Amino acid sequence: MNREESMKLLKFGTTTFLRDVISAVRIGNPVLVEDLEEDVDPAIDPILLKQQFKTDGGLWQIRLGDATIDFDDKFNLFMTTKLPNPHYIPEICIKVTLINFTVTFDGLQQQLLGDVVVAERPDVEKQRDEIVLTMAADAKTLQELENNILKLLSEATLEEILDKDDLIIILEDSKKTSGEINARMD
Amino acid sequence: MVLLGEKTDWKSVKGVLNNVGDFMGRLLDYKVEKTAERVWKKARDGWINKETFKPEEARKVSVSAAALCTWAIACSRYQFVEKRVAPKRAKHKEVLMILATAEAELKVKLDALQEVKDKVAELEANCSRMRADKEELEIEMDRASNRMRRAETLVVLLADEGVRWKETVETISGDIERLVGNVFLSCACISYFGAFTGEYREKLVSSWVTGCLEREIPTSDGFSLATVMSDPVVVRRWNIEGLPNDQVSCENGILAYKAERYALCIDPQQ
Repeated sequence: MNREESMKLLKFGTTTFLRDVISAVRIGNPVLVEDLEEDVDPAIDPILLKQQFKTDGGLWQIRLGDATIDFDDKFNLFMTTKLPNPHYIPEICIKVTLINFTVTFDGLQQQLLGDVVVAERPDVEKQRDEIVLTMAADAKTLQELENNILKLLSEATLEEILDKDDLIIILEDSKKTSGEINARMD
Repeated sequence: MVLLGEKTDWKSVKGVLNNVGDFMGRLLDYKVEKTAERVWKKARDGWINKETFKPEEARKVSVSAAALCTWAIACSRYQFVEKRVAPKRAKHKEVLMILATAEAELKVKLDALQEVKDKVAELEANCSRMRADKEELEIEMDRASNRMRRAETLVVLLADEGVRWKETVETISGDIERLVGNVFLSCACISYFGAFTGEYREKLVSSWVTGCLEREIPTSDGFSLATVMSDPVVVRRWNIEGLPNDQVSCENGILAYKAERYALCIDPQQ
């Protein structure tokens, strides 16, 4: 998700762990802690519990280890474990969001189906991609047209509406666009 | 004496001449026209046309007679001319009268003409006013028909929009009604179902939905975290960047993004 932002890969128990975390918190680098066992290093508890606070100068700071350091709001933390069926004690569960990426039979089926489609019918996949994009764009366009129409309707007097072609042009536009969108959806 | 209508015998003449003042008055007042033609004829035949009836001859006898003679000749000539002039004069008078009548008639006609002219001018003014009115009305009509045309188009187009908006309103009001349950379930999902695999998540969610509906909390029937909390464009970006394209992975992505706490991912196949 944050691939383009230089994500830091760390591991608990390494000698430089805390120092690396501190620098990442300062700069606002996302951190990925790999290969967790069934416990979490209590050194980063202040981060997990979001114990950062606002100073009088309006800066966010956090106490890590013995030091108080600046807290950059772009900082983010992810942890992963390779344990197939880990058991985390409730104290840990309430500090993190557990996300199970374990691939089940159904999930694998769906994933593989997606991959097969990409491999066998790249055109279909591409089409789906385009549809998602155009639909988003269409929705935006429609929204804009609608706003425009309502603005014209609410601002103009009756005579103005009848003496000018603005509204008609926009309405025709809107009709055309929605017609095209409906045609695409079908 | 004949001219004065007196008898011509000496005695009578003497009588008239003796009354000198009266005689002179009668001569002065003498009106040639009033003496009848018969008298003139008698006077000319008897005296005036004779060779001896000349002033020169008369002067030999008497100065008075000469003067009288001159007067008589003059009168005779005057009468002669007058006789021919009189009809002409009458005619002249008559013509003048005709002329006057004609002029009067002309005046009447001219007046009538003027009246007609006035009327024409008035009608012309009326006409131009009517024309201006007509033009104005035509412009008005043009505008009105334009408006009519626009109004019709607008009604048709707005009716189309109306159908769409009605649908939107229905969708949105449904969404608003079900907002409570949907958001409640989304919170529950984000907080609790991350630890489970897809199969269990489905069971969990369906039991939650049933629970909500039983307690009459408005909730979407086919509730899914992905529908309520995700934007298809964002999910697509995740897919492009390597997130597998299945429901569980998509939910995991939402969890990682929306959860308040930091993520701990259980990923044994890594």
